[in-house]
Parts: sequence; C-alpha cells; structure tokens
Amino acid sequence: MPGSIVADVAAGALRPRMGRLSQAHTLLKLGLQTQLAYREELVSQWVSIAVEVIVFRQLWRALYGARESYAGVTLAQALTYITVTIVVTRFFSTWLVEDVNSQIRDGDIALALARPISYGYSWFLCVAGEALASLVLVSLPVAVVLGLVLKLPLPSSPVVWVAFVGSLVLGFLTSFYIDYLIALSAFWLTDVGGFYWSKGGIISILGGTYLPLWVFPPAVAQVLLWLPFRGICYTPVAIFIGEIAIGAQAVQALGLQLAWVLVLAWLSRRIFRAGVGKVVVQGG
Amino acid sequence: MIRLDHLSKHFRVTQPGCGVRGKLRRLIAPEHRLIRAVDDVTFDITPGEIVGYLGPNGAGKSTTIKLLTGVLLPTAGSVEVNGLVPFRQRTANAYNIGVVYGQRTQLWWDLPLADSFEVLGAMYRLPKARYRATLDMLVSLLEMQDILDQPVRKLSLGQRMKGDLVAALLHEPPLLYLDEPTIGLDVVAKDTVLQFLQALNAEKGTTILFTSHNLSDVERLCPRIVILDHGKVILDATRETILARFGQQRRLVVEFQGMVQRLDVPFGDIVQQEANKVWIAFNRDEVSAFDLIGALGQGAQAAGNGIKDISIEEPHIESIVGQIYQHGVPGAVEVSDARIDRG
Repeated sequence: MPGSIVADVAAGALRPRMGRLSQAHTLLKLGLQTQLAYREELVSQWVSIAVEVIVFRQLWRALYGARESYAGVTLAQALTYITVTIVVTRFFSTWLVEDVNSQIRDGDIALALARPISYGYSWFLCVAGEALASLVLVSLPVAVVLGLVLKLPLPSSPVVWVAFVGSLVLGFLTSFYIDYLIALSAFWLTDVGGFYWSKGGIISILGGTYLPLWVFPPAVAQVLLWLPFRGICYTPVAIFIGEIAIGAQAVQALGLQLAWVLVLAWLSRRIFRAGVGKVVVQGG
Repeated sequence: MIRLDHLSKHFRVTQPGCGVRGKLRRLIAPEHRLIRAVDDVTFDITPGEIVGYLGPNGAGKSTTIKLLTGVLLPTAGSVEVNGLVPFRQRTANAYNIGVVYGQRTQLWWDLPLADSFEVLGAMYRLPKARYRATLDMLVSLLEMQDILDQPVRKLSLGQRMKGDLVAALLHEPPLLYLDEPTIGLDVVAKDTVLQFLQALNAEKGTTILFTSHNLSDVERLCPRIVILDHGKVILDATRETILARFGQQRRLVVEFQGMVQRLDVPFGDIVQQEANKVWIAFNRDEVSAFDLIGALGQGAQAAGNGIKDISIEEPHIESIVGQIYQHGVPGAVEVSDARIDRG
C-alpha cells in the first residue's frame, strides 16, 4: 500500500525509543492511515481547493475594485491572505468532534477510558496524524502549485517563515482544543451536532478567517483580537503576509496564542474531569 | 483479586414524558427516577477463578464491569481490583485488566487487524519483543494467521471476536472481563472461543469474569456462578452446588404404546402430555426413577396399555437459572420489587 509508506516516512521523525512501542509514533501513524483510507478523494480535494481559491480571489478583486489598498492592506496582500487561509483551513479540519461525540454518545468511551493513556492526548495524536497526512497529501502540493501559478509573493525573511510555522503550530493546537471542548460538551448535551455546525460559522467570523480582522470596525476588531479564535488561522496568515510585523507585534501575537492554548488546555482538562465524573455511559 | 464490598451504583435518569404536553411539562418540571443498577453487591473473586456473572437484561452486569474498569464512580460501597481502586487509579488498573464487549469492538474499522494490535500495544507501551511473543502466541492459539492483514470491516463476527480477544490480552492482564463474548457466534466459533478461554485460564492462571445470556456456555466454562437481579446478588454458588441444591428435579419421559386417557402418577407432576408421550417431573430425593417407572408400568398394564420407551432428562444449569430468573431463588426471601423510587 503506497499510503503506508508515506505514513512511515512522515512518522519516521518520531522513532520509538528503547525497543518499546511508542504511543506517539503509533498513534500519529494511526491518524495518517485513517486519512489515507480516503485517498481516492485526493483529486476531488485538490479540485475543490482550487475552485475555492479562484472564487475567493475574484471576490476580493471585486471588493477592492479600483482601490489600491484597504485599511492599510494592499490587494496583493489580501489575495495572498485568502489563498493561504484556504490551504491552511483545509488541513486544520479533522473529524475530532464527530469521533469524540459519537464515542461519548454510544458509550464506546467506556472502552477508551479503560486504556492506560490520557484520553485527550490519544485523540490529539490521532488528529495530528490526520492533519499531517492532509498537509502532506493535500495542502502542501496545492500550495506549491498555487504559489507557482499565481506567483504568490512569499516572505523573503527566514524569520517570518519561522514565526509563521510556529504560529501555525499554535493555531493547530488552538483549533484542536476548541474542537475538543465542543466535543466534550457531549457529556451534557448527548448530541453536539447543532453546536458543531454553528462553530464553523462562528470561528470563521470571530476568528477572521474569511473576513480578515482588518476589515472589521476598529472597536469590534479590538475585541476580536483578544479572543482565542483569531489564533487559529488569522495570526499565522497575517504574519505570513506581513500584516503582523516581525518584532513586538509578532511577539505579542504569538504570546497571546500561547496563552490561549494554555488556558484552553487547562479548561479542557477540567471539563473532561467533570464530564467523566458524571459520566452515565448509556446502556448500563 | 476482585473485591466488591456493599457496592452500589445508582443512576438518576430524567423521565422524558409522553406526548407534546407531557414533554413540555417535563421541560419545566423535570421528573427524575432513581435506578439502582447495582445495589449493595458484595463478593470476592480469587486469582485463577472463572466466574459466570448472570442475570436478565438490565440486571446490572455491564454496570458492574464498568465499575470494575473504573469508568463509573460508585455511589456507595467499595471496589478493589488487584489491590487498586479502579476509579481512582484507572490508568494503573488498565494494565491489570482486559475487557471484551461482545457488542462493541475495540478494533479500528478500516485498519488491518495487525495494525489495530500495534496501536493497542503502543497504548500500553509494551516492549517490542514481548509484544511480538504475546501476539504470536495468541494468534497461533486462535488460528488467525490468515486474517491479520484484513481490515476489520471485512471480518466475520467470529473472526472479529477473536480479534477483540487478542486485543484485550496483548498486555497479558491477569484479569479478563468478558461481556457476552459469544453473542451471535456460530457453534464452531463459539467452541474455539470457549476452548481458548479454558486454556488461557489453565496455562496463565488468568482470572475471568464471564457474562453471557447463553447458559450452556456458562455451564461449560464457569465453575462458579453469581446471579444478579435488579442490581442485587440473588445467588452465588458453585456449579455443583447449584445442580445439587436446585437440580433435584429430573424429568421422566414415558412413551406408551397406546393413547393415554387418564394417568395416575403416584409421585411427581405431569408437566407435559402429547398423544402417547408424557413428561413427568419428579424430585430425586423423594422417589427413585426405578420406583416411578415400576408404578407407571403397573398402572399402564391395568389399563391395557404398555410402555414403549423411557428416558430421563437430567437437570441443566440452563433450566435451573431460567426458573430462578422467573421465580427467584427457591426458599429465598422474595426480592423486593421496589427498586424504582421516585426521586
């Protein structure tokens, strides 16, 4: 199976130590394999990203009209912003909420809890594996092709690249914890479907994904800047296009991302404990 | 190994209410009901035992297993597994136990069996050499070399169950909980599973708690039987004790040569009658089969009939337990019906 080779190479960076089977290595591989089970859909994924990019770029061109720049952001920057955002959003989206939700609802969590591994950590590894697969198979190749075809202006400074990747990792963690928190609400709500559907919309607006934060009225933008949602996608991509400048601005943005990750991690731990404390595994 | 001491688990469930009006009313004033899923249960299991844990649907068997795995918090009483308190030391406890739920699988649907095993082995951080050795041993015992590269969704129920057994035993736990592991299996697959469990118990001394609705499986596998009903233990005895204590009832099946009009049975009761065949239940402490047959023969001769064939049906755990489910333990205090309280 060609997929498992990709999985092995990608997970090879985390070689197990001391002749024991490694949790991280194996679970990352599991996530990769889960994603690879759907590799027949690769072509359709590539096409759908391309279409989305074309549509949104046209939209932004129309919005800018004859204008050179808006709120200090040039059309070229805005086009790069939306292109990178679409590529990044794609590999950030995982099945975490559905999987955890159905596990809680169907009582399969009883099996998962009888394992000597932290519930959240095991899901994080699976989801990271999924994201890795989708990064390697979908987002990266598409990004390379789009970059060449659209002649995207890329940051020249390596510092920007480092900040971008670091911010992307923090963004992924933020996204993971928000999804995980939504999924955990299944302990009380039994079904989080509706909640989840609204999440996509809320995050893309509050997080400045499709409507970047600079287009909001300054007062609103000020509030949104302090919320965790912007850390998912806006912060890394804004660093990428130079809207967040390297220096104090970037340090503050990264610091805020990190702070939110820590808060969300703490919160999800508390909520998980509370949920397990009252767990009523159905069908007892 | 396992010690349950006055263990209880009560659930408070919300009554959904009937109809639109009922549902609306419950929305404002929810009505709760207390279900005593496990109610003051006390028993010990010593290392190396195989215990059949029985009870009708909803008796609290699965809840007990969840309490033993630490997934549920007890409402009252205490539970100890291999010196650990499961709900407090869930992770440490996980290394000591293997769990198989017949109606759920712990394998990954899309992954080949071998990969599912590797993921589980990794969760327990098993040393590679030990993992390989255990896996090879289990796979050859269950004869599943040919299906290791199959994704779980392509396996038959019997193959999947073998897979789940291996999954539960990779970390060589001293304790195995089986929740209806033979459900839906055909005779051959069931036989393999039961033989495997017996071998596991004999060779590795694995303690097994076995839950099943199939009483002939329990009779075959479990020297000790605990019966639960409405969350309470109503019987805890060895297979032999149960047979001796409740199995005095044998059945004599008599086939006469002609139609039987009226039959005087000096001992026992006629439980069934069809044309010229009669089933008579009798207590072996009160009358021997020999005397009963003699009396029947005389009676038949006097009526101008003759006996064509005779057989004796021995008692089975199956029929005994069936009767206990329906009528409770003979001679025991009736189990109170007031298990559901308005709360």
